[in-house]
Amino acid sequence: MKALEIKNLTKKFGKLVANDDISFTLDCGEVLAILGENGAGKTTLMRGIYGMDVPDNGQIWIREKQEEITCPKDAISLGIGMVHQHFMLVNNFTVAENLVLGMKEFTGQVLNRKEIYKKINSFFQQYNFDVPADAKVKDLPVGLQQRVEIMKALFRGAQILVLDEPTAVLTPQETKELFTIIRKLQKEGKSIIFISHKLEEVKEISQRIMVLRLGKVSGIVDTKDADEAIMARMMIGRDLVAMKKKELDPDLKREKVLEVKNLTVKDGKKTVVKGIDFTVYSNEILGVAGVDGNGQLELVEAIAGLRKSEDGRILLKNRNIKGKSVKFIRKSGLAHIPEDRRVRGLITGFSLVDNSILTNHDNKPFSNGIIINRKATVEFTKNNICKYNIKTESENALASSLSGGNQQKVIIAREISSKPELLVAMKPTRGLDVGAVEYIHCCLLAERDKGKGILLLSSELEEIMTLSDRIMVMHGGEITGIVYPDEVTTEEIGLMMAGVKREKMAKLPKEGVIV
Amino acid sequence: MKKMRIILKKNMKSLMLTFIALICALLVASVIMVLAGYNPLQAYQSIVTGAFGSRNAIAQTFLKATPLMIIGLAIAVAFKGSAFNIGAEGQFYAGALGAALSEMYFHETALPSFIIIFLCLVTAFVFGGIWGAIPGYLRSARGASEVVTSVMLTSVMLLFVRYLVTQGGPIAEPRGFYPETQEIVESARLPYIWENTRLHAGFIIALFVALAVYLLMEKTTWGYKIKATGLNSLSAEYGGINIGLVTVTTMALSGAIAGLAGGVEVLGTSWKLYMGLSPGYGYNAIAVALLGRLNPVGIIFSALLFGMLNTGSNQMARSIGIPSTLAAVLQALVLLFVVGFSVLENKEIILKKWKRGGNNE
Ligand SMILES: Nc1ncnc2c1ncn2[C@@H]1O[C@H](COP(=O)(O)OP(=O)(O)OP(=O)(O)O)[C@@H](O)[C@H]1O
Ligand SMILES: [Mg+2]
Repeated sequence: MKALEIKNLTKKFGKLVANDDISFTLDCGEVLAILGENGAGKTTLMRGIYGMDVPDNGQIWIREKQEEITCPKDAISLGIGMVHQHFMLVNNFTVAENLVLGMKEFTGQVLNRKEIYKKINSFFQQYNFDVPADAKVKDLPVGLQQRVEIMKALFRGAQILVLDEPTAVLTPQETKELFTIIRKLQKEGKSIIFISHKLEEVKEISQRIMVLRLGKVSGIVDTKDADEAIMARMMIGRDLVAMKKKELDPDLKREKVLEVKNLTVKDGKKTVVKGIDFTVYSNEILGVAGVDGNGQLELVEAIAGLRKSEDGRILLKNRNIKGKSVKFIRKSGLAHIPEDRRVRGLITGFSLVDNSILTNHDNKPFSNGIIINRKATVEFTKNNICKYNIKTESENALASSLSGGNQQKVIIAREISSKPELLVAMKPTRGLDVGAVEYIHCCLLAERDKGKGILLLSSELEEIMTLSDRIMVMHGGEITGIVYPDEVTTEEIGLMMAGVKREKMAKLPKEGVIV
Repeated sequence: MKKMRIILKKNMKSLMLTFIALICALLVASVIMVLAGYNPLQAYQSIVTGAFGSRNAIAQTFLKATPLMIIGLAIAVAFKGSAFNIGAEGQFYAGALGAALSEMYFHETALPSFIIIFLCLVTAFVFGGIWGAIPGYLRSARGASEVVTSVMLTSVMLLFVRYLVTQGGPIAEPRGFYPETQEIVESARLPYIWENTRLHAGFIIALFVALAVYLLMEKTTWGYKIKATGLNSLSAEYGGINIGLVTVTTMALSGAIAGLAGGVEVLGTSWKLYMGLSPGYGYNAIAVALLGRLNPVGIIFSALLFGMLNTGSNQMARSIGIPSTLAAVLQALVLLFVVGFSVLENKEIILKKWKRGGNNE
């Protein structure tokens, strides 16, 4: 039986056609993957099905019956659940409160906490999900928050589950766990729509793949017949070019760009970075590998001046930046692509123009320190839009109207154009399509070739392996090894990520002389 | 041109919604009036004639709108920066006190009028600024909610002023008959700007403040920082904005503008300081700011609307005997509906439903 059928769905935002005459089916017990470049209309389509952006035209059939869905409540009552690209949990509520929030069965009566918690806990057991129902959502790591979102949808009786880029925020291990859950749901006869930019994931989990491009369906294929190169071409309309890392001159003169000595950082009472030492040199990408939550975020925040550090020294171009203001550190040459674009990095209620000057509004030519120079800022933004292929109606559009990947590009464009000495990039390609990932990788390499230092943190080992000149591995707030990428295997890195220390550290880059 | 169109389109929607909200408020108020035994049409007519029927009526409307407009702008600045300045009433009195004190200092001098006025207004601005900065500081240094502290400081200021101006108090008029200060000298009074009416230059000042606030918020880095901090303080911090400093300066500026309103009221309308100087301007102005969508142009109009309701309803009470408390009810309804409708603005619920309804036909 068909769980869902979409017929000729169209959705416009002003002149922009986000979904153009889209038709597809989803069978019961099937995983359908949706691929498509940033701004292709994937999220819009899903919001249409979930009643959030009501389509202008077209029909939605659920279990072979035509239905009107005008709000999420309609969708939920028809057994549709959605986990959004940007989560929609109430952070200050407990897991249980989030689960029952807005459910008819639980409103209009005095909440019997004990009973609800019991019910929820036994529901969790069905799915081997062991998170205390009374934990506050904000205290949970991202991976678990997502699991709560999934549980919330299932608790409401979802038969069709829409997952919008669920793996963008997950570690490889968490992704595996997610796939286990998806397979279990599939066995129960539930249908799943899975959106991702990662071709390997899509190949692993789905039965069929639908590719969207410029709002239209550019193809639906069986996964077993899918070929990565063809997929990529269907998505971005061209072939991917294999990226080449330029060989560096062996006599290259290198300087220290960032020097971290004996740095200790606390999160509350817990010490999360434990006296670490490392140096980033010019013309170098130092990749940082590690399972999320092993001190990487705190390290970055300490360098960027967003978190107090306890002991140690941080030098940027031989200038002390520890304990200095963000403004001072940026003036000294730091650019920073933050981990979560919606928490830091972007103001969604601002236009693209205003977002483009978030980190440099006090500098020339964007202002003279008092008056903002509109012309210069608009020009800068237009330039970025063009150079980074940001899909938007105009530079005056609100950042919130951009697709997730395009929001990410706004940040990357701004940070790289600030001509930094040191670029700290945390998961820079999160949520980007393959074409954009390729482009950003080229940009990072270009910065390296220009002589900049780059500290690249990512939970994707492949990204780290291909881009880095040296790889530093963190575990439990300590460095378990610094290695050259061509002298280790992924297994060895995996061991270091698990906490096995390596004796010999690659203290210096391979080529060049230090001055 | 294109940008103009976009801006127009965006504002059209909020204008539409505000308009619908006004109509709804009028309708509900009509029901109440009918229940109370009055003819609503007659009532509305007398409000309009009371507010615009004569030269004096119009002047009175503008006069009433002046402090509401200035304080509304003050509140908008703070709200934009997510600093919820609820204590504008206190800052208004701080400013009024500042103006009165500095007028006393210059009472005997023979300085030219415009210098005295200027100095008095500057003092008002500074006094209000200090009274606004304190809650700002407490919030950024100590994390105390500015909502609570600014309201508490209002009580402090009101009691302080009461003490100062009681009969025979430190700055009360020397004869000791009335709980108010001595009338200010003629040279300290704001000039009239419309013959044979009491409309004074304060109205021009208010318009000027609106322009200044607009320029500040749209064209300067300071305004940019205020808005960024208000929308997402974590991102603002990431962008190198010192959010603690922004909070303090935003509250100070907001307080200063509210203080300026106090100065204008003393120099233009009352010519002295006394306890009842403000009939709750500081609170009504919150409504004005919200009705005007925190937008300077919007605030000009919403202040005029409230000025009109105020003046007109007095007239209504006088001419057809409808108690002016009913006018207060009307004002409250306007606010209720406008705030209620503003929720819909973002959700696009109504518009969508309408569109769908249209499609089905
Ligand atoms: N509320 C909105 N107003 C105006 N335009 C919008 C709005 N929401 C989405 N769009 C536009 O519609 C297009 C499709 O966006 P959508 O979010 O569906 O892309 P996506 O395929 O999910 O991309 P990504 O992979 O980056 O998440 C984009 O160009 C976006 O700018
Ligand atoms: Mg999306």
